[in-house]
Amino acid sequence: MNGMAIDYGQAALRARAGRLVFVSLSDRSDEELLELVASRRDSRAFDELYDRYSRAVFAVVRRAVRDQGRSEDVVQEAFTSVWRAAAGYRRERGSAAGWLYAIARNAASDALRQRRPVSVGDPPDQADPAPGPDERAAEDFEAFQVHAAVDSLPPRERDVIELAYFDGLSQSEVAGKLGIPLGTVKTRTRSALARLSERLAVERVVG
Amino acid sequence: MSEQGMRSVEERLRAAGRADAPPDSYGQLARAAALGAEPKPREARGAKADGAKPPGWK
Repeated sequence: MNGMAIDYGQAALRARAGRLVFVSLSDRSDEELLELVASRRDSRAFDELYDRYSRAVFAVVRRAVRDQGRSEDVVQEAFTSVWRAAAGYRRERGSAAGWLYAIARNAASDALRQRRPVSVGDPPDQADPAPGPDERAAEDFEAFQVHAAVDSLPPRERDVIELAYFDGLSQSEVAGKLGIPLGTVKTRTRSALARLSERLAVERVVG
Repeated sequence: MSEQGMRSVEERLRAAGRADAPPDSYGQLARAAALGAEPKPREARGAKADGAKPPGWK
């Protein structure tokens, strides 16, 4: 019975290692969730995807669009596209994260095209030192993957990681800010880094 | 996890930096909209929506 699954709403009964186990939506892979959205129009699966990726999608859109209010609209348009186009996702062509990233970038590009006037000025004398489109896209996708991975952490570990690596606090400062022992900060940090390493390594293989 | 693996993850975290996030109310509205209970955020601001949408995303 390996490979078989019987769905019960938010959970599925699956054969694993010779015994039946329940698998909740939160345990499903991104790819499985997208396929549920495509094949069953499963709004709970869509909701789970939203929870996993809304912040990462927002970050990508915000970097491109700049304006906070417009970014919120574009993120919503992106997720509407996810719902509408989920049937177009093909697992063999890449990861769900990569597909979601492409949706986000396309939504942001559409928004910029609508807003940006056609330039009629003289060409610049010097090459623009800013990253080119390909380099920028690679940086954006890397940030998208990292943010999605951080969002997948248990909240207690995510808080520690965000304070230490995004806000630059020392482990002692993190302990003080969260009101927990230094040893707990170290334990959570190590656990979180191990989870992130596993997830990001998988995405490099799949993506 | 190896020290090298940990360093790599740490570098990627620092390079990515903190992401801008939508306000908390946005997520709550979007979730409520998906369940059909409330207007979705952009509708709440008076924007017009169209096309195929998830249930509740009018």
